[in-house]
Amino acid sequence: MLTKVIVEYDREFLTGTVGVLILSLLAEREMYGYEMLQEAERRSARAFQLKEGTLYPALHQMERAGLLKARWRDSEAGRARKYYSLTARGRRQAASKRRQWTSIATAMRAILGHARA
Amino acid sequence: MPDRDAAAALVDRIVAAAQIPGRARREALRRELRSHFEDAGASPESERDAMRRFGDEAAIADWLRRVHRRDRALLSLARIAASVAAAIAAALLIEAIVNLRVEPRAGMWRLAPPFAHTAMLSAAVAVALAAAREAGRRPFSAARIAAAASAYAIAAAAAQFLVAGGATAFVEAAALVALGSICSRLAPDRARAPLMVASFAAAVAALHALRDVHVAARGDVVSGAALAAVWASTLVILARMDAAFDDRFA
Repeated sequence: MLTKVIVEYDREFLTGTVGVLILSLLAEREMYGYEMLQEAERRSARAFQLKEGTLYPALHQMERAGLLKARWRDSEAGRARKYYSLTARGRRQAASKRRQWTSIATAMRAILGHARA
Repeated sequence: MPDRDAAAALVDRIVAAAQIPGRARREALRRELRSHFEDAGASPESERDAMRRFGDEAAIADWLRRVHRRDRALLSLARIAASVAAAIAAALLIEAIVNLRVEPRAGMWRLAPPFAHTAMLSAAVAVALAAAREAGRRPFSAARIAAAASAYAIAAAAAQFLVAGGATAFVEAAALVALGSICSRLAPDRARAPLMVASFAAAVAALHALRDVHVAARGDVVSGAALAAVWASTLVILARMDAAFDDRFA
């Protein structure tokens, strides 16, 4: 029987990951806020559910930091939505964060693997 | 649609608490957050679920407020700079009018010798009033009071650097603003203007006596009236500038 476990993440831990999540998703294509949340949830098999409202301050913060740019355009459903995409600086930051996280994840897997053994 | 209303009210509360400067930017945020709830679904259940998942509205507004803090600070600085510049210009104009003299033999206009001193004092009064207004803004903030006092001290130091006796004018102006504030609080509306003129005239006479400068009583009354006019014009300019910035940018 397949049991789905939704992990309760630390708030601080989650806050730190929102930026990486946004950069990673937008590295692929431009998206609007709700779309990012859906995509993150889908890819993590619903294990990764953050408080949705926290996404918007993070997006605004990153936009002001010059990592993202935004534009309003009509979606396929016909409604106008605010789409975000990476700037050149944001793309560099995304690549850097990806390297950092891959390295951390590899190290943590090794540590946790040893701990379990 | 009670839930749709609840979501809209939640968005409105967050936008208001975020204190984002600029109506257009506030509207853009409102539109973006409303669009989020529309995407979450039209049924009352999905709306309620979306509100539950949205998180703590105070924390979200606080984060947004921090993101836009620099813009708010810059806007405040621009408003204060524009207000002070306009108030000083009006103060100098009032003093120029009061000190304008006709030289009958030469048929020329000139400024009376005390102009340099009275103009500096009036400009300092305008700056002191602006600083007092910023310090007294509600809700009170110790940081804002300290910033207003520091800015006033820096302006006094700059005045001293530019003109001999500039700092003294700022000390006198601070005392005059304290005196004016007491008069405006104590006096009923109709008695306020004469009381201000009389108080300022008495203060100017006292300053002259301290410096051992002899000026006719009429001169002190004219100086008192000029200072009262500077007081009134500064208050009008500060209020108008606040309203103009609120209307245009806030």
